[in-house]
Formats: sequence, structure tokens, C-alpha cells
Amino acid sequence: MSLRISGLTKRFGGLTAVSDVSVTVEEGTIHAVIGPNGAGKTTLLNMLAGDLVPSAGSVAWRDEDITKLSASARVGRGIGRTYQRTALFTDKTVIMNVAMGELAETGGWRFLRPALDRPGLRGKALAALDRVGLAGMAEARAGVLSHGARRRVELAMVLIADPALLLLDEPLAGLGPDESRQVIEVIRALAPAHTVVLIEHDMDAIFSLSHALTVMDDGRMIATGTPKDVREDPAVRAAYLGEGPSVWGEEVP
Amino acid sequence: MRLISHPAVLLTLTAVLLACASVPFWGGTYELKVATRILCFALFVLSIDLLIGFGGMVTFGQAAFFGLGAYALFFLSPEYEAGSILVAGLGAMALGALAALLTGLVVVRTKGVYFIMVTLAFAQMGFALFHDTDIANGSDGAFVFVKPALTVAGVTLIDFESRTDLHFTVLAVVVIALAKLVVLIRSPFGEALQGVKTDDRRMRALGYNPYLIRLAAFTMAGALAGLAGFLFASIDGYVSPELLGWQLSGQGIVMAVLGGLGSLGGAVFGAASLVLLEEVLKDQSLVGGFIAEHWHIPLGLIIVGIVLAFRGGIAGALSRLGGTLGGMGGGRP
Amino acid sequence: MDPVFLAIQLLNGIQQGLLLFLIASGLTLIFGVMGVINLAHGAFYMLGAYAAFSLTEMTGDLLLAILLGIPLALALGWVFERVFFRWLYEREHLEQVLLTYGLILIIDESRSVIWGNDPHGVPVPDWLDFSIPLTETLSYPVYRLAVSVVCLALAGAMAYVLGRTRLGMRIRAGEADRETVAALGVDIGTLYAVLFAAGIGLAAFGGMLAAPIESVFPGMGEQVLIISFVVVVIGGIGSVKGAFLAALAIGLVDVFGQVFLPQFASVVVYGLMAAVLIWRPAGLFGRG
Repeated sequence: MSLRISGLTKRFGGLTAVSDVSVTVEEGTIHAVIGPNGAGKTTLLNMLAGDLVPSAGSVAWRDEDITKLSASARVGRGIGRTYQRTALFTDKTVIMNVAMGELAETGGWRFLRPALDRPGLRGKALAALDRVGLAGMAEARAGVLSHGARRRVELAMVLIADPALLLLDEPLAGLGPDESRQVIEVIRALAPAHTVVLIEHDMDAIFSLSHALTVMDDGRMIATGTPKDVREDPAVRAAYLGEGPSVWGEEVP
Repeated sequence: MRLISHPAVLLTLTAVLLACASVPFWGGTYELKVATRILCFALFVLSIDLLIGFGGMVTFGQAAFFGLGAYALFFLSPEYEAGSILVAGLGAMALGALAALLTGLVVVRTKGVYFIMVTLAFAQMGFALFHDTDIANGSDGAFVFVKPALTVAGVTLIDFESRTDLHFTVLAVVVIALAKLVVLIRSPFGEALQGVKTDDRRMRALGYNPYLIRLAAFTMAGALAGLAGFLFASIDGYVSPELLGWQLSGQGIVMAVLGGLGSLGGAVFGAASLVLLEEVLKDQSLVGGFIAEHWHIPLGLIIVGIVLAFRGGIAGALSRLGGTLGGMGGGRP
Repeated sequence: MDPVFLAIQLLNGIQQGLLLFLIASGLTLIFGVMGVINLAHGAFYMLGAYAAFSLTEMTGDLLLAILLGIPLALALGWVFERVFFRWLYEREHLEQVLLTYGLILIIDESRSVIWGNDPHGVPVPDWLDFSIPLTETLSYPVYRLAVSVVCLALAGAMAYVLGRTRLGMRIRAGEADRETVAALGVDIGTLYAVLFAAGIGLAAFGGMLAAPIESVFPGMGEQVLIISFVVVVIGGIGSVKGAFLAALAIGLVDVFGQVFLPQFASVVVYGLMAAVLIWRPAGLFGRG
């Protein structure tokens, strides 16, 4: 039981954004994808979520080939994602934003009662908001939130549907230190009940959180394995020398 | 955004609807017909507001479904006796819904400016169908000689031959439609529709099917426009291809924007303002012969001026006014 | 059916398609570069036709009328851009629709004030007023051929400007934004005004050419607007090449539709649009 990515490739015209990536993510683990900007990380995540159709290769989740499934069909298979650029419904209240994640189960095909009157929904939404520390903001309009708070609402929107596999695109981007710590603990607590694939730049967070790592550069996968293996991988060292050892969470001299 | 819940909007809406309700008690045939027309257009504009204001679908072809509803009255009325309001009304809704569903299959796949052009083009196809062929006398239009009635166990409860009966029926339909739409907009479907308007990729990622949600809204709006068209045609008992024409679609958008999009109550204000404005501009004794004959010029200037000068429509202005008056019961702007 | 008759219909279809291309290319350029949907495009076509009517009456020759009319149309386009459209560039489509709808009302009613509501014929210039006999009973009017040639020449000129000049290539690639255009030493405000005037000019010129064929009547602008929309939607918004192919297709479908299914000719045209949209929701050459 796992997420198996085999030979996944995405070409945009002449540009190959992701080239022949094969990784297996064991269920119940937290798996980080790292690499410099433009390495193809988000493209990879988009293909896992069904937002992009791969040019070649396949994705299998729990022994089912999901390569050709639409994004919404993948949600039905227990796969949820967040975006690098926050995509909240700014006109709606915070709690309604979070509730949208759970209401997706109905597909929106309920016409008679106010959405939040659905039994148990308000409680679940509040609980999800509580996990990211935002229960107090439930009735605010999402448009008025700070950037950090928006990122956390985004996470709550996915958490409420309780997906087995979470795809998180830079969940810590733009968060303050306290907010970061809180979100890191939320993510850490997801395993082993959930499987997490995340893209992140915060190396401290990655090494403290993840069970396995995949390093990408220029669309290719240059290493994959446990944090320790990856840290000692010569190819990774070579690729990253320019950025200095601080990338790896070591002390900068 | 739900401005209908704003106290100032709700008060004004109640006042306008009460004013409409009072017309039979003081007005002559002309006043009554104008008032009924306003209410029919309000219903039509509600269907447009559902699409543009809540679904983000800028339709320029809503008149097609309005016109089809009107033609349903013609098709479902026996030639020399009164048809059934129930049969014709439901038939008009079904026809509007079916036409919207069929064109919607193609139309809601498109977005933005394509959506505008494609809805307009399909509506024009409907117009051409009635204008260029012999269906219902083609471009000449057709009369419904006996207007429909609602008869239960031999007792005629409502008879559209009576202008008052028709007027109060339309008023009741508007109130019911407003109430139903308020419920719909707050339901999971309404929230999903507004979600699709904001960001349909996000909705897909959450597991919704934006295409089907749009299609459902488009179909509902078609049914509502069909009902409006049926009631409208009952005023004069006359249908013509112009009822499907793009001018009427344009007028509907103007009314929706004038009233304030995404507010539901705005549909009533918009319909009332534009119909009354037209009546004023067409009145020789008020504006003089030249303008009364060429009233499209001042109307066009007013529309252009509104776009360049002010946003949010009447409902928006009312809620801002309410806001500056100190919240008036704590409604959110 | 008589092959000569069909050949004549074929020529008619091509001629109609080419004329339609002229008008639709203005619409698609204005949308492609400035992002403005201009519902009043058909109204300018109508103004062109009426101008051709009046100027021909004054000068006695359609050619002179067109030579006088084109600068007038360009000037009118320039004025409308400066007064109305330049406020619309950053606005939503809905506001563009509303404003241009208002303009249709104003332009159309002004037409009624100036010219009245009667249809008028416009004579073909004497030196073009003859037909090439094809059989004993069938012949083809030279004026229609001349229109086709003029439209083809303009299409060629457009292809050259958009395909061979630096600014044209930017425009075609949809990259005519402030920075890239400024890098070519062009002021974006001026460029927009010029392009807008050119787009309006194309519509009006189409109206002038069509005047002797279609005659001049009040509802002509709307008919052309909607059929131009169909062309633009099929071709892909902003694509001049797409507009060219789609216009030819629509011209042919319309003409042969009139021959074989007279009552349903216009429905067939919309059916073609629906089929293309099911296949490609963004049109044949649409971006995105």
C-alpha cells in the first residue's frame, strides 16, 4: 500500500518540466520534495493531484492506476492538496471556506438547507480550524485574513475532509516562526494515520519532519531516500554546493 | 455579499413590492400593465442575477429562454378556450430548462468572453428559428386569443383575462422566487456555485465538479426565465421572435447591474428603474417629441454614464447608505 | 443541380466569407490586443454602409465615397477610443458589454435621426457594373469579384504586418503589453488608439463594400455582429488566422445553407459553432 510514481514526465512544448521521476512513498510516512526553484516540484505535485495530465509515466495510489483520473475524482480516492499561492474563497467566511472541503462530499448537490446547518459540519469545521489555531477567526471573512492565517485556513480546508494522502505545496511559506512551529506540529501529527507529500524550502522543518526525501533539479530526480542517505549523497552535494551547506540544516561557519 | 439581508435593501424591497401590490387599487390599465411588466422583468432579472451575480457567468442570451417560455403559452393554449395556467406555466419552465440544459452542455464549457459570445450566438439561433421559419407565424408573431386560467373542480380560481388576477399571481411568483433563491444561495449548492465563480480550479481540487454545477445553475436560470416569459406573454396575449432577441438580453443585464448584482433584491429595483425610466423617456409630455421618439439615445447615454460613473448598482448604494447611517441593525455591507 | 450554378454559389460563399473576415478580424484584434469585447462593432459596420450610401449620393461614385469614408471611419474610431473605450481596458467583461450595449443604442438611434429607418440601395460604380456571362442565363457580377480581390489583398497585408514586422509579431503573440511595446519604442496609448481605429475602420470598410450587395438597412449591424462573434469563437479569440478560416467556412455554409435548407440556414451556422466548441472549447486557434 503506497503511492507509486513511475517514469512521470511532463513536457510543455519544448520544455521538459519533469523528466522521468520514479518514487515510491510508503503509506503513513511524510515525504518531502526539495530542490531549487524551477526544479519541477510543483509540476510534479500538480500531476499527483490531477491538475496536470502527465506526458508520460504513471501514478498509482493503493494499487490503483490514477494517472488519468481527474482532480475531483482523486479527491474521492482520499487525496487532498493545498496550493503554493493561497486560493481561498475571499468572499466567504473562514468557517465556510473550511466547510467547502467537507461539503465536497455532497458535490454541492443539496439545495434546501443553509450549508452550515448540515449535521456535524460546523463542529468538524471548527475542529479543523482549531488544529491550525484559527477557531477564533471562524466568522471573519477570509479576504481580511493575514497571509499566514490564510495559509493555515488552506490547510484546514484539506484537513477537514480527512484525506488519506495530503499533497502540500510549501505549507510554511510566508508563515511567522510561531505559526510555522504550530503548522509543523500539525503536519507531524498527520503520520502515521495519513500519508503526506510536501514541497518545502525550510530545511530545518524538512529534516525534523520527513521520513523520506526526494531531491529534484532541472526536472530530474537526482536522489531519493531517507534524510540521512540524501544528506550524504554525492550527487546532491554536487548540485547544491553553490548554495552552501546551510541548505542542509548544518551550521553556517 | 448577500445584500438582500441588509436592512436598507430589505426595507426598500418590501416598499417596492408593496407599491406594486397597491397598483390595482389606484391605477388604471396603463399603470397596472407597467407594474405587471416590472414584476415579470424582475423574475427574468433574477435568473440573470443567479448566473452573473452568483455564478460569474455573464450571459448575453437569457432572453432566448424568456422567449421560449412566452412561446410555451402560445403552444399550450387551445385556440378558442382558456388553457391551464398550471400546464402552460410548468410547460414554460420545462421548455426553458430543457433548452438551457441542451445549450448549456456546450455553453458552460466556455468561459469569460467566449461565454458572452456563445450565449449570444445560441440565443440568436433561437431567434432565427422563430423568425425565419413558419413556426407560430414566423416574424409576424402570434396571438393567444384566450388567456389561461386555473380551474379546480369547475371553479375558476385565477383567470389571466383579469389583469388584477395576473398581476397578483406574478407578484406572488416573484416573492416565492425571491424566497426560494435566498434559500438556494445559502445551500451547499449555492455556496458551491459561488465557489466556482471565485476559483473553479480550487473547487475541482476540493472534489466538486464545476461543469455540472454551472450546468445545473444554467438550467435553473433557464426555467426561471421561461416562467418569466410565460407570465410576460400573458400580459398582452402576444408572442413574437423579439422576445428571444439580444436587445432583451441586453436590457436584462442592464437591469441586473442597475439593481446590483449578487443581491437578488436588486433584480426588483433594476427592473422597476429601467421600466419606469423607459416610460418616462417615451412620454412626450415629459421629455418632448424628439426625445420621446428617439428615447434610445438618452437611455444609451445613461447606461454609458452608469458604467463610467458608479458601481454596485442600487442595492450597493442602499447598503452603503445603510452603512453610513450607522449600521441600521448591524447588517454587514 | 447545375454545376455552373453551384460554382456561382461557391464564389458567393467565398466572397461573403472574405467580407466577413474583414469585419471579424477587427473584432478579434481589438479583443486579442486590448482585451475589450466590443458589441458596437456591428454598429460601425452599419455606419460604414450608411456613409457609403450618403457619400455615393454626393459624389456619384462608390469609389470616391469609400476614399472619403475610410478617413472618416478611422477618425471616428480614434474618437471613440479616446472618449469611451480607453476606460474599459482594465475593467471586467461585464462592464465592457454594458458600455458597448449603450453605445449600440446611441449609434443606432442616431442613425435613425440622420438617415431615417428606410432601406436604401447603393449603386455599383459604373466601371464595375457589368457581369461575366457564364452560360446563357447565368452570369457573375464583377463587383463581387472586385470585393473578393480587395478583401484578399487586405488579408495579405494583415498577414504581412502580423507575421513579418516586430510589432506585428508581438501583437500576434498576445504580448503587446506596456513593457514589450515600450521596448520597441512605441507608446502603448497611441498603439491602442491606432489599433482601435484600425479595427473600427475594418468594420466600417466592410460596411461600405457590402452596401451595394446587401443594400443599407437599420438591422444590418446586429446581424453582422452576431455572425462575426460566431466567426471569432470558431477561429479562437485573438487569432486572425483562425478568423480567416472560420469566416470562409461560415460564408460557404451560409450560402449553401440558403440553397439547400433556406429556412434553417442560420441554424446550420450556429450548429457548426456548437460542433467546433464541443471539439475545442477555445476555438480552432484559441489560446488556453
